[in-house]
Amino acid sequence: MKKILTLVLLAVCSLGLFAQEEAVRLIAENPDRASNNMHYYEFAPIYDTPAPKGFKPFYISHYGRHGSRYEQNSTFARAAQEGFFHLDSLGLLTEAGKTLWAQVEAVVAAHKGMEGSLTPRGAREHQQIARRMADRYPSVFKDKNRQEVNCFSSTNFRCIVSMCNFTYGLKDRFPKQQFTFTSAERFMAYINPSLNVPRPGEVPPPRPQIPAGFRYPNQQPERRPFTPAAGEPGYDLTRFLTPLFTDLQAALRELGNPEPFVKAIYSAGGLCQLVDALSDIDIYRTYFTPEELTYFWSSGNDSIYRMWGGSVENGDVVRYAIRPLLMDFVEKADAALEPGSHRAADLRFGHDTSVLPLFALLGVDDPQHRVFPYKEAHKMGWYAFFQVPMATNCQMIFYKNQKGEVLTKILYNEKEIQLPGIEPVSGPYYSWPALRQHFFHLCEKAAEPWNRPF
Amino acid sequence: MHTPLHFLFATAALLLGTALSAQTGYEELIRENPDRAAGVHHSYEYRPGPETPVPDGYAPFYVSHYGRHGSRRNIGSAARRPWEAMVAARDAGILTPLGEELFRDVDAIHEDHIGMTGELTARGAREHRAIARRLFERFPGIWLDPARTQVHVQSSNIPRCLVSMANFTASLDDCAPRLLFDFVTGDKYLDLLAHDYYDEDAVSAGSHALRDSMALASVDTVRLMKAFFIDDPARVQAVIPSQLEFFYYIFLYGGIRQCVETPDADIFGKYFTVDELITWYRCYNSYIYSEMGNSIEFGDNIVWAARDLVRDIIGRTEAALASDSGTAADLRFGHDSGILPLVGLMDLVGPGDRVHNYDASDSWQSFFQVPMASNLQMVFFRKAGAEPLVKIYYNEQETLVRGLESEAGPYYRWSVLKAHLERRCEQFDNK
Repeated sequence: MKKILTLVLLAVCSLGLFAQEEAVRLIAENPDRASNNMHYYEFAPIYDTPAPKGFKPFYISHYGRHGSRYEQNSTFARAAQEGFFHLDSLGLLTEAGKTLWAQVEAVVAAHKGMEGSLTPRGAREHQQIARRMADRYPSVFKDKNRQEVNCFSSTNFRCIVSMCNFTYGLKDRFPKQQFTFTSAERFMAYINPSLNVPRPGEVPPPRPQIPAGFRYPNQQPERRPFTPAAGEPGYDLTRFLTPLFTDLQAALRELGNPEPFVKAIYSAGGLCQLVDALSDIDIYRTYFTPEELTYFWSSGNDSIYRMWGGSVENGDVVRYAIRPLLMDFVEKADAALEPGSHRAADLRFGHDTSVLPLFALLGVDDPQHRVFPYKEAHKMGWYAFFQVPMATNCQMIFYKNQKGEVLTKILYNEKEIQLPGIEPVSGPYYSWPALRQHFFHLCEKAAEPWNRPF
Repeated sequence: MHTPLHFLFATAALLLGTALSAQTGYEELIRENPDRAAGVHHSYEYRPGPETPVPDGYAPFYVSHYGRHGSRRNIGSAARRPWEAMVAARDAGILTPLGEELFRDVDAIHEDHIGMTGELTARGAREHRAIARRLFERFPGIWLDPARTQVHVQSSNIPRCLVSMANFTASLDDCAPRLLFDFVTGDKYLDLLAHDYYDEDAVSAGSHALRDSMALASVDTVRLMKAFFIDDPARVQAVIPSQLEFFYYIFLYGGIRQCVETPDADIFGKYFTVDELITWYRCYNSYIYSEMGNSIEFGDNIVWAARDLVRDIIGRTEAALASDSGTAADLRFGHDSGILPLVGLMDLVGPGDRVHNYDASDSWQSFFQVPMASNLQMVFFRKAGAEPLVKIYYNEQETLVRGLESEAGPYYRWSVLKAHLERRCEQFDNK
């Protein structure tokens, strides 16, 4: 028995080690991936399994995260800015250190007044996803009886601007579609439901209230007296730091624990890929090794899986909270299937905090349909940069035949997927009535342990 | 300067039109359409004006535009307070049967506000689509020029502006599918398109005080109080401590009804007499003008805020005038608090007029000068070997710049207008 246990443990450990190596390989292949959910949308070639004979696509229901955006604040690199400023005043920066400092400042400066906005890259991502949708399923948009495209957006401006770009991508191909645009708090109940669901016996924390007349302070970092950071780094950062300082030991005495300083540079580095104006700056490739990037990537990766994925620890909360979004897919599909409906597509524009939970409820947030403790995510080959990058999307494509039978195919970032717990009719094609039933079952199951009102 | 006769007639007609609409008093205009009493909450009225022929040989090629969001729901306390007061009154059992009816109407409007506060309505979407379509139809050459297909779009980051932008541009794209739109938004653009005023708190305090003192002096609440509430002053007073405030909020709900399109809840038509609406309007109009217009009292503080916007208009126009520019239009989507300072700084005849805030209604009507979807369109014309001309439309009517000599009718040489705009910016730079 002991032998078997040892073998199993060894197997798990070696799997973890393998996955770790795989993560380094993927990040070496494209260092921008190390920015987790701040990674741009990577489009890989797609393949469409031919639909069963006689079935043609006629309706699409879609949810898309906003595209590449600016960071939501301009304080993300404060620890680096303060550290560089202080070390420079002591004459400890090399030319390389000064160059990196200037680059970090340039990334911060590009964010001033643009915090949280969609970038031109984000605009292109949405236009391209829309064009590919139109090119893959032209029959949906060519149907003269189905010319309505209804768009619902989160009230956040980067989502509304994503919506505009997406619709222009579609209009490029099919200019005659009739678009309606909606964005309001009322629809956030399903576009971006709160994941702040208390477990039984828990009291939810009060919603933060903004006092009347409150004005957000200017986000200009104040110049505070520099204090060394506490603790020890979790990774040996000597290689990274050496070229930046004229005297590494003196610099380390000032910095204390150098990890917050380097992590702030890592944060700034992850943003360069998103902003066209920063294309000349490549902090990840210039200063970091893939191993160093993987170190900073891993904890963020795991934390994203915990917050919005189907983890052992939090998956039940996430699946419970996102039911209104899945039910909205059902509700809108029901309406689109009504005789006389003119609806070609329902498009929703929202956030990672909803699209990953939606995939978790469907049981596909992990490509192999697994559920694991969140701290294992980076060892299990779960990559936020693939599962929930900018512009992550879920598309449900509805097909029908002359008899009126309806099949549905689900795409995760434009790729066909298969769902656990339900048999397809063939390939990725599911009978819509069965799938609809399955969705209800998933929602009921997600509500089971707590038995709370919907 | 030799001015052809038909341009003289056109200028005369424009001035006459301006004078006539100034002369037609607000009372008469509100009697004609009581929804106008809503002032800044009035839905957009398309009122076509004269179209002065383009000078010989000139062709339109570029538009610089600013549009306020279209019809929307109420915001902040105006979305909530009338309903809260009516619920409290109903619960206290102090409503007459007519008061109960008012409750149902207020409730219907409130229903539309739940989760929708401040958002664009379907009417607002139609307003923007229609304005865009007319802009296309007025100057199709601008939008169908294969050498100019780019449209740069800046918006406030508030959803009602962004959704207005989506509707406006979708409508333009319906007419001219070749256009390429580039959308930008962010705090930076809110700051550009609706910048805070100089010493804004003083402007706001002064404007509120003006409104309240005018209401106190002119509004009589006796008839409506008797109509809505039972004859039990102590109980009514406990729920409605300030009658003026209560009716002001009911007036705001009645005003927004046309935007949310709840036809059965016609608060203006069912409960207010036109004279009462006119009285409320006069207070409200002075307040709006004082808060956002080019008034003698606060105008300097307000138009000061539009300097960067005017400079943005100049800079983008200069870039678009280059012969190799591919830009057909610069579109901007913002707020009443952005467009009024802009037209004030530009010193446009009509929307930018300067009078005492108390007297605003004698010559300046918010329902025409700053309704939902208010818009400024600067249309540029060119001719080989000649300087570009520009014509300004405000709410789709040809508009003149105060004291500025035009080339012909409402057509200004760009260099002349640009110099005027730069002068106006400099005038306020050192405030």
